[in-house]
Amino acid sequence: MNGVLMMPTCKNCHVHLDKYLKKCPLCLRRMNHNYKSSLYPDYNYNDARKNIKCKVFLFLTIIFTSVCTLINLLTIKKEPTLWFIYVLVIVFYLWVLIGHTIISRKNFGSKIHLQIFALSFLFLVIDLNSGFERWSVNIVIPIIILLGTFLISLKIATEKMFVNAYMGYVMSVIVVGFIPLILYAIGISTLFWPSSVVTLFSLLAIIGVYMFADKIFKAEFNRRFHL
Amino acid sequence: MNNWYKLDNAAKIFPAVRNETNTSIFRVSMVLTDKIQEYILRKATNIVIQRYPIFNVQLHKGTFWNYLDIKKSSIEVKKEEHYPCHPTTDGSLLRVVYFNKKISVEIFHSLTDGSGAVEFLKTLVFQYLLLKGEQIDSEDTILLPEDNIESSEIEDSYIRYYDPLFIKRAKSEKTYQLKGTEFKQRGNNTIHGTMDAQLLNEKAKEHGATITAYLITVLIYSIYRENNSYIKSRKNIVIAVPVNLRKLFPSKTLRNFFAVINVGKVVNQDVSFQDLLAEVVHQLNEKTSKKNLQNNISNNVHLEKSIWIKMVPLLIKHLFLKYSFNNLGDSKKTMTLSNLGNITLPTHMQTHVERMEIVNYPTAKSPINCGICSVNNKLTITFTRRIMETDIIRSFFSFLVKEANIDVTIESNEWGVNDAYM
Repeated sequence: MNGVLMMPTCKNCHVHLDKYLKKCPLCLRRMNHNYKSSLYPDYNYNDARKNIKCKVFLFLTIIFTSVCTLINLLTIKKEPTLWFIYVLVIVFYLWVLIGHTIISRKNFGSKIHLQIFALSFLFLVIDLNSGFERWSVNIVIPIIILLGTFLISLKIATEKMFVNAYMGYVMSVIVVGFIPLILYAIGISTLFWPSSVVTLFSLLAIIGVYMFADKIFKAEFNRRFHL
Repeated sequence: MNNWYKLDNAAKIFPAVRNETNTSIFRVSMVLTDKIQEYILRKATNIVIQRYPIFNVQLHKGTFWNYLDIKKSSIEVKKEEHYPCHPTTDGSLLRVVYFNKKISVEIFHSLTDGSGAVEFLKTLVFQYLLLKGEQIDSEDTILLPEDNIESSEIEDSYIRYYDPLFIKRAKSEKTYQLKGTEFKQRGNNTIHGTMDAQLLNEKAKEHGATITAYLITVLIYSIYRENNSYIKSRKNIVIAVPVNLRKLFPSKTLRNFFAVINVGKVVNQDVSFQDLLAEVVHQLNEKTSKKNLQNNISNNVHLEKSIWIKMVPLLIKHLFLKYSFNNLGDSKKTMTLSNLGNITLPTHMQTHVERMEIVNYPTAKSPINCGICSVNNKLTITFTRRIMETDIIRSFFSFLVKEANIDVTIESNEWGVNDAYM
C-alpha cells in the first residue's frame, strides 16, 4: 500500500493514477507532467489518411462517371451511342486492376481469378454495347480463361508448396473452363474451336490434378464442402 | 494431428459478424516485472505455438461452413503500435505484441475463449521466463511445450455435451442500449482499474455475493445513475456474462466452450443497491445451474445439427447469423462483463508477474464492455470503449472507492482523450 501512496491521485475521482497518464481517464482532468506511457505506445493517428485517400479517389470516380453519363445523355440526339457505358466499365476494370491486382496483398490465385472475371466482363459489355458481334464470347473470353488457367497451373507446377492454397482456385478455374462450351451449346457463342480448346485444357487440368495430386485434391474437397 | 479443423459451435458466428466496429478479437495480457526482450519472446513463441497447433491457423471459406487451415509460417511477434483489438489486415487470427513490461496475446474469438487464451499466455510467459534463465517449475498448472497434444484439447465440447431433449429459449424483454459519441478516429480506449482482490472479495461476501455478482450490480447501478435517457425508457439493464462451461461439463478443450447468460432488471429509484444485488445473485444462481447451461448448449447446437441448415450456402448462413446476432444477441444486452476469475500461476512464476488484464472488444450495440481477471491478489477490471463518454466507468470506480472503500489504481491507453467534446 505504501507503493500506492506514491502514485498521483485524481482529487475529482479519488482514484490513484498511473503516473504516466496525461489526463485522468475517468474525468479527463489534465495531469501536469511529461512522462510517456509505461504500458502503451504513443499512437500514430495517421492511419485514417489511407482510408481518406481511398474515399477521395472513389468520390472523384463517381464525379467523373456521373459527368460522362450526363454529357452522353444530353448529347444523345447528336451522338446516338451510349458511350458512357464504355467509361463505366473501363473505370470499373481500372479499380479492380489497381485496387485488387496491383495494390492489395491478396494471393496470386485470387488476383488471377478476379482478373478473369473482370476482363471477361469488360469485353462482354463493350461487345454488347457495340452491336454484339460476339467477338467477346467467341474469341476473347475463351483466351482470357485459357491464359488464367495456364498461369495458375504454371504457378502450382513451379511452386508445389502452394498446391493447398491454390486448389480452390484450380477447382474454380476448372469449372469456369466449361463456361465457353456452355455458351456455345446454348447459342450465345458461335465459334466452336476456342470453346473446345479451353474445355480440353480444363479436362487435362482435372486429369493432371487427379494423377499427381489426388490426395490433396480430395482433402481440399473435404474441407471446402464439409457439412 | 489434423491439418485442418472445423469451427466449433460458438466459433461459427464470429466470421459472420466481424467488422470494424466489432473485430471479435479479444486480448489477454500479463504485465511482468522486467522489460520484455523481443528476441527471447520470439523464440518462446516459436516453441510454444508447436504445443497449440489449433491456434496457428488461417480462416477459409468453404461452400457450407468456414474452416481453419494449419499455417506453415510462424506467429508474428511485434512491438505494440496499434490500439488493442484492432482489425487485422493480413488475415492473422493470433498475434503476440509487447510493450515495455507487458506481453499481450490478441486472438480472434473463433479460435478459443478466454480460458483457452489464458492457457496459451501462461505457457508463453512460462517459456519466456525459462529462456531468460529463471528457475521455475510448472507445478502442473501450465501446459508445457514438451507435453503431448491430446485429442481432447481440440474437440468441440458443445457437440459432446449436446442433448436432443431441451426446452426452447424464451423470448427476452426489451433491453436498454448504451449510446455515445464515437472517437474522431475509430479505435478502442482501455481503462484498467487495479485493486486488492481479497478486499473486494470480503466486501462482496459482506453483501452475501460473489465478486462477479457484486461487480455486475455495481455496473448496473452505475448505468442507471449516469444515464438520464434511461429513466424514461423503463427497459431492462442487462449484463451479458460469459460462463466457462468446463467447470460443470468436464472438458480439456482449448477451443470455445462457454455459454452467455443475461442478468438484469428494470431499475428505478425504488430499487436499492441491496435489492438489486439480491436479484443479481438470484439470477446468476438460477442461470448458471447445470440444467440451465445444458439447455443453453442444446439450444445452440440444435440449429447446427439440422441437415436443412447444413445445406444452406455459407453466404446465406452469414446473413442469417448477422441478423440473429444483431437482433437476438447484441441488442438483448446493455454490456458484457467477462470474469476470467483468479489465474493460478506456479509459485516461482508469481514473483515475475505483476498483474493480468483482459480486453473485451466493444460491439456496435455495446460500445463499452468489461473484462476482469486476477492474479497474485491483484484484480484488474478493464473497460474497453469506442465512445468518448466515461460517465459509467467513472461512476463504477467511484462507487468502489467511496462506497466499498477499496483503493483503485487507474491506467489507460489514452486513445482519443484529446478529442474535444466537453
